[in-house]
Amino acid sequence: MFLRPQGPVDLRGVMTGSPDPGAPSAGNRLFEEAQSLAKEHDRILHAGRLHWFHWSIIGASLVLTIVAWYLVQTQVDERVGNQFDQEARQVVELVSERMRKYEDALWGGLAAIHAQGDEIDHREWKRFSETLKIEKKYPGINGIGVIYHLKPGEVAAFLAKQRIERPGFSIFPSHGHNEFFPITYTEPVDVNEAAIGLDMAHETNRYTAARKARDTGETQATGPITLVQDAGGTPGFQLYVPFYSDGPHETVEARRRNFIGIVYGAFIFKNLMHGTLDSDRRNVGIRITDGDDVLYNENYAEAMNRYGRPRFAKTISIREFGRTWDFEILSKESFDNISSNQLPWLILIGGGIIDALLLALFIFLARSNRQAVEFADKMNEQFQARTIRLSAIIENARSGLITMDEDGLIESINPACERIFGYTAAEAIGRNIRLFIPAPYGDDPDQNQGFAVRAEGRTKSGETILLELAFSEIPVAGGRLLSAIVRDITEQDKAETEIIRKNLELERFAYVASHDLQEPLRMVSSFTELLQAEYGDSLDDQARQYMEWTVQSSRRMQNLIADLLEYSMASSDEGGFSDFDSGEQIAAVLDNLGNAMKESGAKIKVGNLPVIYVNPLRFGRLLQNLVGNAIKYRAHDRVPEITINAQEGDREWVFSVCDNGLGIRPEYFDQIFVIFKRLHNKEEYSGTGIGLSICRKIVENFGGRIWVESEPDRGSKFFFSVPKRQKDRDAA
Amino acid sequence: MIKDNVRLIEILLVEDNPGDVFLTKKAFERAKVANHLRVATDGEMALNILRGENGCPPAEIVDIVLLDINLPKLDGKQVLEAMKQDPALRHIPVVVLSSSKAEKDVLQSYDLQASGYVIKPLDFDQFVDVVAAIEEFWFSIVALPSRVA
Repeated sequence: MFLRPQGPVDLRGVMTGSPDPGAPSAGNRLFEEAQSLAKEHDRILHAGRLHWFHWSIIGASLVLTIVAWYLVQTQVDERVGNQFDQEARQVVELVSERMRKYEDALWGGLAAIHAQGDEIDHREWKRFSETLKIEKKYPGINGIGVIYHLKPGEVAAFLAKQRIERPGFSIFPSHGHNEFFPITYTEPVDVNEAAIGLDMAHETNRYTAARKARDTGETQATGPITLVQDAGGTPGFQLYVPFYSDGPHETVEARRRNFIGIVYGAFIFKNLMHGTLDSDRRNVGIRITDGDDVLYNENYAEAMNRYGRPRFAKTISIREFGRTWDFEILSKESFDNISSNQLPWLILIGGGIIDALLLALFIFLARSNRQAVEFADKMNEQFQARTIRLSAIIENARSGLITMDEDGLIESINPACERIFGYTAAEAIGRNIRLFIPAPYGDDPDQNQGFAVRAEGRTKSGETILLELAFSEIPVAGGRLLSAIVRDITEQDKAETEIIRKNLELERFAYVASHDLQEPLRMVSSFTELLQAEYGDSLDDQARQYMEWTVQSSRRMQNLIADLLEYSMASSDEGGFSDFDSGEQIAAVLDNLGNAMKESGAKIKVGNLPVIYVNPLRFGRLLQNLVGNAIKYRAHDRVPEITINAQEGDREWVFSVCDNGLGIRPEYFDQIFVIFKRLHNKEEYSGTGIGLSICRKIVENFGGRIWVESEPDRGSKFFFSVPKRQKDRDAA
Repeated sequence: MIKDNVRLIEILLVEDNPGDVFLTKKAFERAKVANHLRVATDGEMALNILRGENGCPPAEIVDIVLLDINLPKLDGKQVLEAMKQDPALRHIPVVVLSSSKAEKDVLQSYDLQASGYVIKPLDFDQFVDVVAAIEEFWFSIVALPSRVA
């Protein structure tokens, strides 16, 4: 993920050969610039990573998110907890309240009994209970009734009394105690019929509670019991409200003495809770225990979540009527579902998302940064490669390359320069170009920009050398830079001079040779002819034949020498180059060939011919040869037609001399330009075979080329090119 | 045109090649106009004859000089130069007779005030024709200064 920096381009090696830190040169400036670039590069690269403050920002944001989540969660939890608490308490309160209500009912019963003068019969009790509208107003009470306290001696009379109205009445079950607490009346009688006559003393909880009620004078609840009326045998209890006859009942004895009986209410827990609690309590599980006995258990198991623990649990103990009931309230999952709040998770997730976004943003920025640096590095690499390549070219060039400012102060020289002038780069930098290149060129390089000139140069050892020199301007930002490209042409110049000299010598030799050869040859042929003329008659045929051959041979030799002479002079520039109208020249040539033209009946067509810059005499000779050939090598069955034209090109004119003569076979296209090469024997056509080679020499001399296109028996086209002058080239 | 047939045309031929001398003489023998050919075999001798120096009796009259360029000692050009700078000699027409076709030679000769430049043909018959033409022009047509006076 993290980039290894490439480093900046080391420009030191490029421009100057060996930088001298002391020299106030461009090299040093470049070096310093390179260094500051490197620093900046590293700085940006450094910025491309994620640093401690990035992480701390992200960390802080995360922490904040978590804190917020936690706070909200806690709040939510608290609220839910509170909600639960409230509910739990509400449950308990409801139950308590209900119990009190029931107690009130019982006290109502008591009041009813007292109103009857402590004697009440079952009908009156029934009326009371109906008035009370138990089912409606006191749902949960299974039954409300009266228990009379009987000592053993009172039992028989009690039984008899009761059996008057209710023959089936009996006190049961038997037990070992010597007092009796039978349920005498109970309403509603239809569900509670089984309880009539049931002796409270038979069962511990009932018995204990009854006695306690009697002794305390307060409402007592029994411990967990099962009502006989309850077919299911589910937990229940009874509430006992003791009542006494008139008389004091502040003390226990007093109470015992005056105790009459108990108004009781019977409850089945299931029914009690069902009546008490609404269905919307189904979100909590309730377990009510009295000591170890479970009085009521609703949704308790369901409230245990998968961890075996409910989310909320609360145990509230109430002491009511002498019993301690523990209400264990547990929240069910549905409670969690209802009360659960998404907010903390939203906060957490939202915060997390923001954090992630923040991180992503940082990473993105860092990466952008890094990518930019990578890109810069890549460009750098390319640039470096190119620069190295360029510098390699400069370093390895054979030509010397000097850069300088507009005043001629040298900024750099390449190794080729060092070799040419003998100065090292360090020695040269800062000196004026005049050191190498004296006046006039060295004095004002700015003014002398342009094409290469031949100039003198001076080496370190004081030697003067000949240079090919070109100044030009290098466009750079901030300032003007001039360059000089030099080539040491001293040797070349010497060689050229030598060649020219040798050529001249050769030509002179050829000229002199031919020239001096002509004389004796003239003599030979003249005197032989004279011999023929004056003594021919007195000689025999054989001798005459000898002389004939001699004459012919010497004539032939004369022709050859004349042609050779001409050939050797074909590249001389006597008369020099000049601008002239080639059309006029051609007219002159045609004039020269007038006889031949008349003889052959040749028709000559001349197109538009330009003004050209060559040696006019040579050009005339060239054309004369070409047109002469066209006439000479004509086809005999048709009138020779010769066309002379010129076509303009970018850099040259291409002239053409076209005929409809014999034509040339393709395999000879090159050979015909070879000196003395002929395609016909001398009986057919005269000539030494030098004409075209002279043409070629002339054409090549003014820098053109000559070639032929031809079809045997159709005709030939000879082309030659005449280069344009530079100014004409530019103008075109 | 003043035709004075009393006196022979005096020709001074300056030519070092005896063969050429012979041929030239032979050619002039066939001339229509009577002439007397004197020969100088080098430039110095030519000037001596013209000026009557160094033991040479001066040529009383030289009507025309036929001059070869390639001469030993003083070459043809130098003779020409000398003649044309000499007030006594400069009126004499000098026809350069040379086998050289070189433009350089031709131009230089005219530059030095030669009256004509004739290229010696390689063929003898042609040479004879050329001589006839010279003779025709210079002896018959042209008024020679030496003969007017």
